[in-house]
Amino acid sequence: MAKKEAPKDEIERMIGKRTEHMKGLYIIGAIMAWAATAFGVWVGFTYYAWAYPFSSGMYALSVLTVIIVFGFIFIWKVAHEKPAIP
Amino acid sequence: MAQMPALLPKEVEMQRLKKILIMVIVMGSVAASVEVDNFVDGSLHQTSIRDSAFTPAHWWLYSHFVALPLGWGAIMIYDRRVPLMRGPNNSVNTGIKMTIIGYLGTMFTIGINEMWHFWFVEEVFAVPNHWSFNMGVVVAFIGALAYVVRLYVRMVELGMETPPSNPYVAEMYKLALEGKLYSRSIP
Repeated sequence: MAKKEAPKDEIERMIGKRTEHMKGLYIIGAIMAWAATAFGVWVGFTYYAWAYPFSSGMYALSVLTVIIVFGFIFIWKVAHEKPAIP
Repeated sequence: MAQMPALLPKEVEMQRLKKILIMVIVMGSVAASVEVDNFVDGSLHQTSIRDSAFTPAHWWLYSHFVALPLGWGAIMIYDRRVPLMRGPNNSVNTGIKMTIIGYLGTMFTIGINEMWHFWFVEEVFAVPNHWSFNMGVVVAFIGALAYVVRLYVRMVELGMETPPSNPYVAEMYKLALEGKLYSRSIP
């Protein structure tokens, strides 16, 4: 069966914004995720100092920063990958 | 797996699959974070009595158990744009259904847990009100794994993955794409 291809501009309209062009979203998302995490850690060692000393907060923030960075790198890789069979 | 007929242009489907995978990665990061909090919350409960539900470890834990079902729900809504990711009878994909049901279980367990702790402040790990936190997460992880495998299979079918450099594995990859991988064991 002969495959009928949709016109190029129609395909573009179906795709919407390409993942390669959503860099701002990934960067701002990662920064906001880190800022929210840091804020949570700050609240922890400021208001619950009896349970979470500063060093514990820094340890938690380090682990969470690694998680955020891994997620960001993986997202960046997926978003910018070129298909092996175009 | 045999090549499936294209229901929408390949380029469109590839972009949509990428967007789904990016959302799944975000959910994976959130799940990784909540795993860390299991230790944080556990260590707090080992050292102090439960004087309040509003400890930083609980904000961390509970906000994630609300964010995860909502996030996976958003993935489910977007998922409808890729016909081949749908489940039986054109319904929601079974994997994503399990994931959402599992995380919804954990979300409702927050309420059950608070009712229990209204009477019993001691945090014993193995009490029944904690079971459904763990059971919900296990069900969700099984569903998410099934969903990610389905997603990945479709990405391989579309040729989105880079073939492996090992020639033996590359041959298996090629056979898989041609739908002949299992013909060696199932003649």
